[in-house]
Amino acid sequence: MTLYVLRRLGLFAVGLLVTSLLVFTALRVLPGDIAHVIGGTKATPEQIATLRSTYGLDAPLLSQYTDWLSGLVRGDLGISLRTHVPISTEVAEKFHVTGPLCLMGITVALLLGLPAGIWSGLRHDRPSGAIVSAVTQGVAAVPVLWAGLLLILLLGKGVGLANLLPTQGFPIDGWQQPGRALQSLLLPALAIGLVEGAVILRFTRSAVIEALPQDYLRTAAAQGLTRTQALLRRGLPNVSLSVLSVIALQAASLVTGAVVVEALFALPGAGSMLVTDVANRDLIKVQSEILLLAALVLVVGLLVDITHRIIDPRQRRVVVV
Amino acid sequence: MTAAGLVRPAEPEEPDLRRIPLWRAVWRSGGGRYGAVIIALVLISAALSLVWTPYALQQTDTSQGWLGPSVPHPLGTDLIGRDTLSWLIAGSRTTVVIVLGSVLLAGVLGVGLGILSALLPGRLRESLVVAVDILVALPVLLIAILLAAPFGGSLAVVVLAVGIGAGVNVARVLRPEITRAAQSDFVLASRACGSGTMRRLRDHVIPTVGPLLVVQLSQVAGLALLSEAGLTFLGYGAPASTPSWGRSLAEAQHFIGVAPLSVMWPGLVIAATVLAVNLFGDALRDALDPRRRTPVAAPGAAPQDAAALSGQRPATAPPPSPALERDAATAGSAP
Repeated sequence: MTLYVLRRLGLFAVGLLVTSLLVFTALRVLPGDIAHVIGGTKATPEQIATLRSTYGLDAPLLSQYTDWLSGLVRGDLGISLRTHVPISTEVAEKFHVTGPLCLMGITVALLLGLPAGIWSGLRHDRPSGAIVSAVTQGVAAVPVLWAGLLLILLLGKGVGLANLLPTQGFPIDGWQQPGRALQSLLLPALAIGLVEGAVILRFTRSAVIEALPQDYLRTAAAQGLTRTQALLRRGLPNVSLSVLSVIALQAASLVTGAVVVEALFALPGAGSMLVTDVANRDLIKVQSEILLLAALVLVVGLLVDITHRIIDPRQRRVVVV
Repeated sequence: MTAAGLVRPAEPEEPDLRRIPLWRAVWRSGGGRYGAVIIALVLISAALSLVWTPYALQQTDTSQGWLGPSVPHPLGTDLIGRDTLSWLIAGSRTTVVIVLGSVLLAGVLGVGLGILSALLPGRLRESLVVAVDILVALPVLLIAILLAAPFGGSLAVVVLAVGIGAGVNVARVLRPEITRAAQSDFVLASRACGSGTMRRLRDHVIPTVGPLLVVQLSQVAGLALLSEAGLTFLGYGAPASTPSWGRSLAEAQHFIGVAPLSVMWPGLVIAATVLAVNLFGDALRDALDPRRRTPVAAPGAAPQDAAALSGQRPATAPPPSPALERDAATAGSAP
């Protein structure tokens, strides 16, 4: 187990390194002279020269890269070109919105996807199960953006049929008033959760259908358990394995969904910040932000893989790279 | 028991899918039929929009802004009186370009990387496998930003981001199947007959992973449509002058309070098309999969039919080949 965790950590480190190289190449090397890109077409030669010397853009690319990396290791993400505030401070602040948003989104997705997936898997040969499955196919085909808009039309304050929840912004005093903060995150989290939940439902359903004819469930039935009892007591550990893998896969689309939804609901989170920074060509900040978001996805993958290892007894003794 | 009258009348025989043409096998399923109709509609309107749309795209009339559905404008108009239906019809052009581009790129990348990461020798293969595993974690959105931040948004950004992001995913899904196919007896037999590597890949390996590839690519098509909407909304997709469904949705959302219906149409069109592409892919997989096409899948029905046809006792019906059954079982559980 320790060996596995060490190997997996090693893979994680390699992953970060490869991603950082990729991000650096795409943003610093490919565009040619980055100072020109940042300065825009109207910048004077003097302004560009200042940009270069202030941000160390005149140093050789390799030392720019190693500077960036060593800064990252120390938690120094660089300084924003526009606001001149350390990027790490800004990011930490924005995660007060993005973190809870993602957690709420994935909670909604699991609350919807798991029970409904198990239910429709148990009833996959009946009309009710087929209807759930068809509806899920439909929901999974909806763009997150549209899901958010539909929710606004249904529940949004001022616009919606039900006139319930705020659709724009986040309280200025942040989490000082938890109720209001939660309210403003509810619709965006629902938008993410619905779409992700449909995917989780589909995977749970097929995992249940796959588990149903297994011998261990037949044994449980022979011992007097009903089909549902047998599945819930003996089958769930097996089903949870495939659900875990889906969560790892969904981490990437969760990040994407969060960025879109933050922009739609005007939430001051990390996603909106990234979009603004791209628009302002604050490439040094964009570079660190993209690496952070990619790292987030890699961390989820790492945690899921290790959890997978812990809860699946079949994998404990086998050493697999 | 052998009297002809006691034998249950033969049920209409399940047609042998090997003999019926592919399109008919797809058409047999409801999902495949829905998918084919919607995809055909999109293709037709894309072609039609090159020569004709109900109104000229740039025909504006500010006195006719945000009209509801009416006979001259079935889906209403936008802020400056442009016909919504015309823009959606023209937007299907962009959809076709993006979907074809992404699917092509993801297919080439996926099959190429899949073959390399399954068949390269030793260390080279392992590092490629690790690289693919890492790249899979990179969301399409981040790839798009990497491309759009220095160069600005465009259709090419969408195609490249989806193609690359989904391509590595396809490679990861295909790799175990390609490895399995490459180690199978029929490839060995082909090798014993003196066939070259390219020939074995073309004739034996790629057809085996074909059904899986089709499903993957149909998902890529869906992902391309969904990504186009998101990326255009964030400003990394098509420029303002290019009609696209994502752009129609992104522009309408500003005015959701004024004209809620105008948000519905582009969203509906996107969702319906994504659904169509997914269902069509599923139907195509079922029709293509050689294991699903052999009439092994109905263990209850097979002996009965055999008995009805030959008049023999059910016990003598040939048992389904265990090898085929095993393959069918493992095929469903691709990691």
